[in-house]
Amino acid sequence: MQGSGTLSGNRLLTYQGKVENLGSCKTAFGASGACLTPFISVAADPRFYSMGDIIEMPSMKGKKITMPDGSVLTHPGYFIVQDTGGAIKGANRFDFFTGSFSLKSSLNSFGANGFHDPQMASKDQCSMKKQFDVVRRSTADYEQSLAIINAAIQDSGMKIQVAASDQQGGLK
Amino acid sequence: MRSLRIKLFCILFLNLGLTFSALADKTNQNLANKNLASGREIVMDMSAPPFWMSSYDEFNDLQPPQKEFYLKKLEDALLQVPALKELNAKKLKDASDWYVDWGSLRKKVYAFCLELGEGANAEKKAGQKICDTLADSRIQTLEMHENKKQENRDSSTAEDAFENGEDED
Repeated sequence: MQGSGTLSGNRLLTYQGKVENLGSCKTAFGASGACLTPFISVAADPRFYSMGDIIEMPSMKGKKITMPDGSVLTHPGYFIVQDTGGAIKGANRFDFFTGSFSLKSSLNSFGANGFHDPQMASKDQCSMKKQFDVVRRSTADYEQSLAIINAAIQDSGMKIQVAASDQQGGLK
Repeated sequence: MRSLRIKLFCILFLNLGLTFSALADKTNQNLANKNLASGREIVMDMSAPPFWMSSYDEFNDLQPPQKEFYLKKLEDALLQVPALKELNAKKLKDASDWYVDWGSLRKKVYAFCLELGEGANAEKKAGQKICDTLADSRIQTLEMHENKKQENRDSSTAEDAFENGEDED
């Protein structure tokens, strides 16, 4: 799990030791440059994924997730690749951003002590609930998947947009 | 009279058939000629790995220090791509502001790297090195802004410990 190193005054302490101004971002920035969204943003190996690629995980659809700000997200069943990580290697490994919740927090739906149903910190690496598909950026289904993610976030009451539409549209 | 009509119909039908057949042959010839003229057809899916160069959307989302870093790295590497010998810092900067120009650059890079394939000769090895450098530049750029929490910095150790039952808290 990766979380934010936020300081008072809406500042971020990066792992390089730099202090950055988060501006309107309430969590942390990822490798993609985007502001990360808890339980939606994931880190992936950039050798296999473009930043912005969407991971569709049908088992997550409809799950109720408590967010760090107390709101409840009805999970859309999609994640978006917005970060990388030194330990995240290969096409089948992701790190789920859970905001200020730690791996062991009982409030962390994905964490080791969270409710079993949406739990991602599981010893069962190949469980059915972890099956996923990739919606590549600039493909036909991408915009629709992105709209579903944004709609779910809006419905939870969070006033953020996970990502803007692609400028390239259908161009490759 | 009736047999004459049948004969005329058959002749007409046969002629039409021959006409369409001729057209079809001409069409196939155009396709065949097109393939021969262009040589080997390269299929490029730039939305899937390998990622030799960031898409415009991926680049556009980067933070300013990342963009600056990436453009500098790109400039050094792209000049070694034969189709991009005329590139300079200004042209690259201009391309970074317009997705059409960026996409054009990117296609040339992908065409270059894809056409190399696997090869043992010195020229191909040199080309592969350029492509590896391009791919690494993209990853270095992204890693500049990785998000890591102090206690999870070595996330693989923490999670492996949990998965192996060593972390019983």
